[in-house]
Amino acid sequence: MSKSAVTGPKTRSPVLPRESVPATVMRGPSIALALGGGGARGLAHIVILEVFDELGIRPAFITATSIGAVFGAAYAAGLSAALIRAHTEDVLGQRLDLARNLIAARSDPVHKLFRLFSLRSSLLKPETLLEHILPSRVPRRFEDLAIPLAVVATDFYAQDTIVFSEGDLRQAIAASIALPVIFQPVIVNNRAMMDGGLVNPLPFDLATGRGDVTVAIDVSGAPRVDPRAMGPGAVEAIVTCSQILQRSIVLEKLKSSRPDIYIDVSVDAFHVLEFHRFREILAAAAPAKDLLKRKLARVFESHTVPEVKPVPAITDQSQPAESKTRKRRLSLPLRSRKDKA
Amino acid sequence: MSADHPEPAPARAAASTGTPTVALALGGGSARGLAHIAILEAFDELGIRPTVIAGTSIGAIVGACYAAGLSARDIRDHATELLSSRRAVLYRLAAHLPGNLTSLWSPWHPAVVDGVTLLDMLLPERTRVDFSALAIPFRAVTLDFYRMEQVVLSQGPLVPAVAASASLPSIMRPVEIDGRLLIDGGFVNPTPYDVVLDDADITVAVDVTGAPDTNTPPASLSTNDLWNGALHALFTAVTREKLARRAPEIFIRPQVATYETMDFLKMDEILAAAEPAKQELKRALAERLDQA
Repeated sequence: MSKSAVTGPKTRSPVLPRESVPATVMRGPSIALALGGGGARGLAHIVILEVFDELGIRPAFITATSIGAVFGAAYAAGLSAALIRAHTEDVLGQRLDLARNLIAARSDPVHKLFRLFSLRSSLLKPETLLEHILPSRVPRRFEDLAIPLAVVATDFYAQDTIVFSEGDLRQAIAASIALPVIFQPVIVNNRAMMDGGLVNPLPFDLATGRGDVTVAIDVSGAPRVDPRAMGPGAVEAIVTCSQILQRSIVLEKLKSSRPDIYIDVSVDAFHVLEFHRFREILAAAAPAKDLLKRKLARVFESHTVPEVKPVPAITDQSQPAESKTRKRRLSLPLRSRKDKA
Repeated sequence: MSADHPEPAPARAAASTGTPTVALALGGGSARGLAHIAILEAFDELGIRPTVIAGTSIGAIVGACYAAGLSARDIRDHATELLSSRRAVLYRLAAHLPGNLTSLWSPWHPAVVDGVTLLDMLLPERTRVDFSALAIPFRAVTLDFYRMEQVVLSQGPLVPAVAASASLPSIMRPVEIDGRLLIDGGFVNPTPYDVVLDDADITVAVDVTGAPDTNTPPASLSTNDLWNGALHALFTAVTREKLARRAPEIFIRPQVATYETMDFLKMDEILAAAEPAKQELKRALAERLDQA
């Protein structure tokens, strides 16, 4: 596989200035976080990032695909999950303004815009969209991020994964989100780059070795099947089937190796383009948030004595005996790595 | 690779006689799958009969013909006759479906063809049997559209199973079998070698997934090119992950990737392009059978 080298310092939970984050930062194992693609379903990543802020845990490394790259970059830039939530709500609330700005940014005839709404043409430039949706505090270059980030895109001609981890950050995110029906591909040096979800929708394999504990957030879900999709809505049917393919890729990867913590966010009920259902999607991600919080708290308890005690509510009462045997607990989350060997 | 599965599968019991058994998996890829005919010629020319065949989409169509007892030559002749001209296909449709031509297009789904009707007309007579009557055990890979899971068909009437495996959404209607709505298996398992991996000593996988033409510069890529390239990247990624986990003994990728989905009328060209893959397979099979 032609994955370019991922660069960046191998740090353990760097301490960074961060807004709206508890002042206390837990010491413990370093976390390598993988945020998957899934269109509007990926709005759920915001809720997942809240877990890290609430526990005072900072990932040592983030790798992300598509919508995961948008939120992963914002978080890696040092923005809190609360800020990202407010910003996203703001952007999605101004959909009409956004649409107007996008029209102004284009020189194509207006009739093409109607084709956008019928999803028959890839005409939006992903870079243009990013300029409107990314918080202005997200830096231009990977090197200026607070947390090392790797962004996954598809190399169109090679039909393989391409990983960005240095240089132009926005271009990398643009490539990562460039879903063909909606966006133009991103062309760099005569190479065409597209949505990373086509080849690696949940890039936890890139997180391996970048932290003591790998955490994968899967928002690919099962496609929502509408019986009408099999009729005249051919485009809809193909979109659904491409989701099944993404799911198939993730399931095959999980058969080969598993991240230490795998969270399947239950967002199946939402269509990949239902960005307007922001609040519902975030609400649907609440159980996944609780699950991740419990799992992370358990991992941290077992690894080290935290400087500051975690919130009592997240202590898992069901297995009190295990928390005393540190060695045994340590082996739990790392079991999958042994299996692989 | 045989060390990976020390417990012999039932089908491999025959291997105790000395000759290794061969399982064959033929992948999906629309017109590119005509290359499977060249692959089957390799088996005929070496005098090897697969113990079991799995097929997805066009791989199921070609594989079912072979499993029914047709030789690669028979299949090529049949396809040649069908595809010699568009007119011949239409003639055949009309001749075999007197007064029934309209049933291909439901008034409720105007753009969608009924796959069972279509394949019942296009497939050779000998495929109109049950799986149980086949000369070689056969498995058709499909996708349950509502449950979103792979369904491997290996019993019941053959033609509807093959039609289900080849039911590309937007072109063919899904096929209902045993209460399940089934579509093209390519969306879960484009090159389904894992379905037969434990059923023989040697597994041969034939991948005919498409790929973009690298000679087309980015500025000249049409929406259609981009869309096809995206789908092919997904298919390729599924197969790549399967290969990373467990590869078949022989994996063949005929050089037909840049032929388009509906290039059926370029059959001779596609078969010629598959010739090096056929020779590669013959060498690889002969080598492994000699070792035994």
